[in-house]
Amino acid sequence: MKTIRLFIWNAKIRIQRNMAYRADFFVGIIVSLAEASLGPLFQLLLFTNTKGYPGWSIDQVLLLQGLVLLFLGIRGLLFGAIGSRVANMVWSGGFDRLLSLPYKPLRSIMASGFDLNRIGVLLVGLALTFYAGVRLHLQVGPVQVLFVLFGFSCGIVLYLAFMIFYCTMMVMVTKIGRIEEVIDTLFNFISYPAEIFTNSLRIVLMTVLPFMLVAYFPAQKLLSRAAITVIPGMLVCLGLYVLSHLFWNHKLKNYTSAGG
Amino acid sequence: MHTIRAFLEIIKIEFKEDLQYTFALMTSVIIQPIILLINIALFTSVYAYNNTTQILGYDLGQMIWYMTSAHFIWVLIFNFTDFRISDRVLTGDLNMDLLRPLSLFKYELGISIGFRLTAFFTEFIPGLIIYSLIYFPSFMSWLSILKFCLLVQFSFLIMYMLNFLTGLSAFKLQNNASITGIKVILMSIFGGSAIPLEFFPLPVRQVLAFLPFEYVFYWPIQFFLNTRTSQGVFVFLRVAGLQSMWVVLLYGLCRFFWKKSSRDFSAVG
Repeated sequence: MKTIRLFIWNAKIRIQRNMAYRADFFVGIIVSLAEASLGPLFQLLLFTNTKGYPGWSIDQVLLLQGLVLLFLGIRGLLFGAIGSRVANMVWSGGFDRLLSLPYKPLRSIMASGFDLNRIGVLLVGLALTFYAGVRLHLQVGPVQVLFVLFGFSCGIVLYLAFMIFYCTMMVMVTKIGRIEEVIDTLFNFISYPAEIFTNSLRIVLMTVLPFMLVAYFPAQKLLSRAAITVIPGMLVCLGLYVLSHLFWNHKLKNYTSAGG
Repeated sequence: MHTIRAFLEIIKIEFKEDLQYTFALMTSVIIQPIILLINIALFTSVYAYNNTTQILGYDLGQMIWYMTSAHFIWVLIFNFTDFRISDRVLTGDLNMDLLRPLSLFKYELGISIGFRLTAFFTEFIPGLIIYSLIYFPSFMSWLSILKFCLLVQFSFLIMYMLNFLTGLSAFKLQNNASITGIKVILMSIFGGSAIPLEFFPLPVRQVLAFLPFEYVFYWPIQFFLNTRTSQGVFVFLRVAGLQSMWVVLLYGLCRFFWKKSSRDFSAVG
């Protein structure tokens, strides 16, 4: 509860900061809308000029893209600022201050992830999912909503696990380059259906790196099609999350300040 | 002579400084294979399902390498000039730049060249070798790489000057992050960095020919991929000529707007 209060407090401050340069913020939203539309635009142009890929029509692909953007929007809005915030704290020596706060450091970091700039992605995701849903005459009930929430939750747990590993490394070695970009690039796998990958890679993407759980699985459920086995992937997400916490706690005990 | 020596010194210092961040620069050598892997899966599936060897003039290998080529261009032309100018306008640090015996345009150009020289050795060369091992670009030739390397230098200048102009917008807007964002979107969509321009309808492409963006990405990519549209000396000379024209035009705009905006600058930011 304390963490949620801290999150809301941080979010309020972030919104106030954004409003200091209001014109820039609103143009930024338009830019983020355009950026988010790139993926669906690519798929649309691909399907306009070719037959696309097996088992998927353009409306079904747009549904998948909508779910992807919806997930990325929620993830970005809640936790999008974590990477840059930790990097700034470590580089400026402000991380030590975090240790003296009456909150657990990791909770403070998680509660500071709000990034209003990602709202554009969320809006495009909502619009696209709604549009594709109407075009496909989808029957969406509470069960389907639960499947979508399940997929997104797995994705967020997986993302947080990666980010905790990333933050731990950052605190240990101070400068670790563009590793956050690697994490974002890995999440590119969620934008495509499992059918385009080879059998072995498909199994990897459902179990070892369960990116197929995030958008592909809910899309299949919404389309009332045979879905994938989710238990191994879900266990991997939870396992990685627990491991990342253990890694963080272990390394924080050895922390000697000044990037030590 | 003194100016040239100072300019070369800036390039050298920036190059040395960036070499300290080799690991950060080389991260793209980790990132790009993931994207390449996705593109291989995606386009192999598309070509097989469409039962064809050519889509819009690209064979499978060229289509897979299209995005990688676009990435190479970003690697070779990317710079922070827009952000650096905006930041210094906001903080008031620009007054130090005005005291230098070198103009801001030349100083930032030197920084950008030094920055990209590092990327050439840490991202482009290792990337070209590693990605070729993952999916061999059989369509490529030494001549096509040479033509690409020549044209990408004009791309660099166009990008630098677009960034310089974006940076100057900070004199009016203070925070120009959104303008920078718009520029990147325009580059990605209309320059052919995100999607090959052949995917767009013909009227759109005809309009795009009057903008600088496709001369930054699309045309150098055509030479890199050794596509049919890039064959012949005339095409090469035409593209190089149009790129030079944009360089001259943008340089004129940079001079004009620098004179106009720097006149009103006050060091309190």
